[in-house]
Amino acid sequence: MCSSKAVDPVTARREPSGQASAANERLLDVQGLSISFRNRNGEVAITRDVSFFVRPGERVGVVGESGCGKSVTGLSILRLLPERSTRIQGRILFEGQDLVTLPARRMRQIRGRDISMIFQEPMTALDPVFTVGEQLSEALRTHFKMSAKEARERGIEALAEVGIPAPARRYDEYPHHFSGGMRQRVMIAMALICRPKLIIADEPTTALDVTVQAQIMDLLCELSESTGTALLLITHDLGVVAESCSRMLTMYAGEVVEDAPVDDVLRRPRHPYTSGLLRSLPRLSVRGQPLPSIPGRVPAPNRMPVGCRFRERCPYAVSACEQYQAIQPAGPDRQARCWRHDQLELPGAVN
Amino acid sequence: MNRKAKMLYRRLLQAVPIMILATFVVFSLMQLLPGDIAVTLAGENASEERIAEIRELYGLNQPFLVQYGSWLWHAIQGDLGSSLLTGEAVAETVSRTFPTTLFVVVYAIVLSVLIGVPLGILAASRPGSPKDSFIMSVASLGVAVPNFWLGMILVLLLSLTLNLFPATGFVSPTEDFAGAIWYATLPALALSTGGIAEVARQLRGSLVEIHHSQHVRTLHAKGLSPAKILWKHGLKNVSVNLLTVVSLLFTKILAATVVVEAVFAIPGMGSAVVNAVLEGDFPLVQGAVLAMVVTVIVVNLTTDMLYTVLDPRID
Repeated sequence: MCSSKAVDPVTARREPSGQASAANERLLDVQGLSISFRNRNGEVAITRDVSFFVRPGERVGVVGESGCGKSVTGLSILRLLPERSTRIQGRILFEGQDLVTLPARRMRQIRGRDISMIFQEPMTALDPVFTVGEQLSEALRTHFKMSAKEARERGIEALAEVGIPAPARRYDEYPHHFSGGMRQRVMIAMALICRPKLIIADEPTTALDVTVQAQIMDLLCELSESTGTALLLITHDLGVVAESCSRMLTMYAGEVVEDAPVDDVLRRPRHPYTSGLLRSLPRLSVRGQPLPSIPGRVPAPNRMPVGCRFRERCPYAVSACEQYQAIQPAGPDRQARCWRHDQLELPGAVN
Repeated sequence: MNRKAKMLYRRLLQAVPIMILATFVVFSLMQLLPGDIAVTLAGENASEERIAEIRELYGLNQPFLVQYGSWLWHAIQGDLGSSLLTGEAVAETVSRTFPTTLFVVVYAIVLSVLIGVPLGILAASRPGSPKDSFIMSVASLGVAVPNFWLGMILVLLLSLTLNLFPATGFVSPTEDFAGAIWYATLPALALSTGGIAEVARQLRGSLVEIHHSQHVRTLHAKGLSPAKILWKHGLKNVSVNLLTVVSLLFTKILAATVVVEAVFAIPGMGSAVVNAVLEGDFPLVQGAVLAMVVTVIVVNLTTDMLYTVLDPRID
């Protein structure tokens, strides 16, 4: 870090909350979040009653197939959904303040400084007509009073931190001079430059070459560890969650269906959908046998069944599943949206 | 840098055939026009012999290709000849009248940008709103209105009725800049309506597109204010589109001056050309066309150079 004589403005504000991270403290606490999009034909509910929390410094993975509402949930935390066509119910508590009702100006102070976001598409997420350095220092100078020279130094440090070679030279280059993997490194540098408390990473490696994916994921975890930044990792890759997160949320058709510590859920999932996802992981299934898959498809948002939303695809469904399913405690520190969770012996990925 | 110099050199080389082609086409078209300059020059009640003599004198009895070739030969040596009617050197006429025309054209472009850009931003700020629909329908009207008609309406309203601006005439900007602006306002306004509309529509379209782009979402996620996103990132991103519009406008407005100068009695090159065409004064027409072609080439070249400044992806 740069050797400033006075207190470092970027890291100074983190000290108070830094030491007091009690195990049950909640950095982010999402309560009963229901999001719907309005269009000409009415309203389409995207998520229903989504509740979860992230502890300071914790890494939480959100998994589920495309369209289950995981990206929308991620975007809603930073209020990046189109305001006029989105209706949000519920609360998103960040350090105790509700982001849903926060005035726009206060919300902007949180964006990038306390919570930052990494997107799926590194090729289009950077402004093509400004240098990478300008975009990095801009993130910093939006939130902290700082000379251009100091912002530049910190920008170069940030590039070095994410493993970009010759950072001082690359600082003045444009995004099109960078490869996809390098751009995602820039995005990570940008997300971390204000030393936020939480990073929301929405499929950060999906658009990258397979060879680069692991590098980027390792980098993200490493930096989250070393800086004590909590990570909400949205992905459809269960392997990534198993390797890098301590807790996993499974979403299905707009609802959280399971919330459990990763080790527990891998060994014994409590929801049939999570079990299905785990069993369809290629490298964990038995060689020479067809890969298990979940039959059927996710119901369309406007044609959700009344009871359990997974019922039609669930091998364990019985007539009582036609009742509304509430999420319920299913063991220490875990919940499942299945009333049969303690009757069923569901197969996991590890035995 | 070397690459840029090479590019410049190549482009200038390409300009030569364009100039030859343009002057040749105009020269050919002049042959198709009715009227005979020899008859005009001979004066009223001139005898056939006198007219033939004049034809001989100016080489008008030569085959068409020979006439053009002779003009070109002299032009290459820097001699554009003199007007058949007034005897004034063409180079002199052009350098006397063309700055006037350029002044009005540049003024019209400045108006297009100064009025069109805020309108475009305003419309893009809330796409689909009544404000947006209103601005866009007015803009469609602006594209459709013929500028000579608008010129006459402006004269009627703003000068003859309200006495705000002079109806006709021109003051040289080198002598009295404020006066020049005052005199040129109505013609520039008449010329700029299409430009205002086009700038507003293009800007609105590209701004709306940019606002939905992923990199703008990143800017929001960084905590930037909407104003900063628009003025810093939005405008720089659309500046290339804006530049394209302006450079196309230049050509369009330059062509439109021919008519508008007549409406406002501006002693520019436009009115000189109209007169010369009607009388068949081909050296003057050729000289004027050459001046316009060179201007358009220079504008296009400057535009291409500016692209590389505004968009780092263009090399």
